This record gives sequence, structure tokens and C-alpha cells, in this order.
Amino acid sequence: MSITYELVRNQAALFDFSSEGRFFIRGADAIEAVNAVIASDLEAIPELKALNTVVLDESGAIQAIVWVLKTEDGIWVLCDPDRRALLGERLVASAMKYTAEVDDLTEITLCLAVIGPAAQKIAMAVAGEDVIGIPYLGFEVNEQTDTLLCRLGYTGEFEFRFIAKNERASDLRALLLEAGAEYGLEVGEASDLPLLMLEMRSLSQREHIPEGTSPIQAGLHWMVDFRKECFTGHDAVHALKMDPGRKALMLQFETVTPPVGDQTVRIDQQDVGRCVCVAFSPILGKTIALAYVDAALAWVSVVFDVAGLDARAVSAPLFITKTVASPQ
Amino acid sequence: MAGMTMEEAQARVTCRREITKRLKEQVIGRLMLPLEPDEIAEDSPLFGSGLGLDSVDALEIVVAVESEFGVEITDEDMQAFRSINTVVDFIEAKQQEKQEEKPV
Repeated sequence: MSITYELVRNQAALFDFSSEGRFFIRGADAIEAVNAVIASDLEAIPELKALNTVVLDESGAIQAIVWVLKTEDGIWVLCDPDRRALLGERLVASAMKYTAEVDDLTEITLCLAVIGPAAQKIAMAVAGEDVIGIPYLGFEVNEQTDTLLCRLGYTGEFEFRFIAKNERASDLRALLLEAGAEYGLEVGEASDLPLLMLEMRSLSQREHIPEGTSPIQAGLHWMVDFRKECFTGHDAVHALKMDPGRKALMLQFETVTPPVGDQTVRIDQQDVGRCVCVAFSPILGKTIALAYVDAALAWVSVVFDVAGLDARAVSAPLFITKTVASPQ
Repeated sequence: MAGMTMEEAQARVTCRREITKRLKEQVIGRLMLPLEPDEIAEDSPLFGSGLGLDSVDALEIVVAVESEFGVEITDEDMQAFRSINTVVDFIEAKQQEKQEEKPV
């Protein structure tokens, strides 16, 4: 078990997400400009709430998974580092059709995240007792830390993100590490996050979603507002509901050792899918995988053959985290 | 050769699909969600992100599952209510228990 995994599941780890894209859209039509780009409906949420949604292309394929934060002054849009250029282009193109302006704040801001069952206590120690009132998908302008403090996350544990101007970097980092010392807070490795996400059936776009995959195939239906009348990829997504082709499915092996070699998923020696990610889950003590399988067979409790091993399709999330079971 | 035969897999799919469909229809109907069954992914979280349900909705789902599937749900069982798939797992396990309790 890696140190980062151990910290995130049992205490807390500090991550620097500063390389992620951070855009701020302002102006009279900021909401409309962002809404034209995303598959969820920004009109449907109140201020100080966040959306986790997707930006699609015309074929319904996921171009970017984004967090959208609605404030009184404008809209924040956060994305993975490798989607920044693409998302920036989409936002700017949309803004030009409305009274809105897009600022790419990635280079002048930073984002530090504390993730783990103790993250709420650490956030409270640095940002005040009111932090306890921030719901999941909520955020606030925190005066105590001079940050935008967001409660987001994919790991099933508390995750508090602090977005601030770059000049706050060393102070904020020191403040968090000092407050987190009694909870064992240490700097974590971002490379361990995809496994922590997968255990909760949250998907990392880079690790778990092949190019060309739709939210329907990835099982991310909830990132789409199906009642929204107009968004890029609308018709394709609705068509895929009926016939997605392949669907993402969590598989679990009885073995500790991952299957070696061919990652093809088979039934009766017929190829019916492919694993895109295989990893050992320390909490389960078993190997798990994410596979894309023919939709007709992509159902929980079917047992597939992967490299000669039984691979049972299982329900997600794979277990109840400490944060959910007994929030501290 | 590992895994099920195609026949076994298809039989499993038929059973699972039927329970899942009934459960989704109950959840949508009871909670008046503006969704169709194929607009809910089976692994979507029921609470928080995902369907964004709350504790009141959870009680509605409990009532729906008890009446539709004839199973009893205790407070401890509520941990199963995390996604459509985990609820279907729970229903299948309860139905299996009932089956095993029947006198031969």
C-alpha cells in the first residue's frame, strides 16, 4: 500500500493541483456562455454550488470533465491540465457569442487540496469552524485564508480545495501542513489518485476513459442533464442511451496478482470487451479492473474470463469510506 | 477456461436486468425524477453527486423496495443504498435468503 493511499483512506494528504486549468468567465451573459459549452444545466443550480459535468463534441464523446462553480460575480471552470487548451478554446468561442469574457487564471493562481477523512478538521483549523457547514459541491470565499474554498472530490473522502493567488503559495502550503501535522498530513502523490477514484467508480479521464468515449458508455449519465434542450453532442448522447455499444464495468478478481498479458474480456472464448485499467485495491485485498464490455453483457454478477482468471462484474462504489461511514 | 458460459451469463443478465428495471421505475416514480430508466447509470451515486438525493429520498426508496420486492430493510441495511447496483445486490441477497428459508 502506498503512503499516499494510506493517508487518503485513513488520515489526509496534501495535493498541489495548480497545473489544472482554471478559467473565470464574467459578464452579463457568463452563465449562458458556460451553459452553451457544458452538458449540465448551470441555470438549475444556485450560487455557491458546483457542478461536475462534461464538455462533449458533436459525436457525444467526452472532450473534458469539468467542475463548474457558480458565484455571484461569475463562473469558475476547472479542468485537467491536458484539457486546458481545448476547454479554453471552447469557452472563448462561446463567450464571443454572448456578453461575456473568459480569463485563464491558471498561471496566476494555485490550487492546493487536502483529501482524506481528516481533511475537514484540517480545513476547519486553517479556515474556521464554518467550514463544517460547506456541503459537498459547495464552496465559499474564505476570508481567513484569502482563498476560494471548495468541497469537491472523487475519492469518497473529504476533499477541500483552496484556490488562491500565486503569491499565497508558500504561506498557504505551510499553514495547511502545520495544521495537518497532528492528523498526519503529508504531501501526496497525484499518481495514486486514479486508483482511489476507481474504487469509488469515479473516472479519471486520462486513465479510465479512452478517447471517443461518451458519458453513456462511461456510465457518467449524471454529468448530463437529459432535459436540457441544447448542448453540443445532445442528439448523439440521446441516441447512445438506446444503444451504447460498450459500457464501462467494474471487475473484481479473487487474486492479489493482476492478470498478466492480454487484457481482453471474454465469455466462452468470445471477445466481449477490454480492460483499460487493472490495479490492486489495498482495502479490498483484491485486484480490480475497469473494462469496457459489450452492453448486452455489461451487468453486475456476470463472471468473465480475463487472461484465464475469473473476473466478476461488481457494483460500485466498492466499499464505504471512513468519511462516509463516520465523518469525523 | 475461466468465467461463465455465454448461456449462464445471459441468464444472469436477464435476471439482473429485470430487477434493475423495476427498481429504477420505482425510484423515478416515487421521487418523481425527471428521468427515464436508461438515463440512470446503474453505478451512479444515489446521494451527493450523481442523482443528488437526500435522506428523505432515501426513506422513499426504502418504502419502494420493501413494497415492490417484499423484503424487509433495517437501519443497518441502509449502507447498501449507495447506487442502483448496490441496492439490486441487496435485493438479490434478500431474495436468496428467503429462497433458502423455504421448507424443502
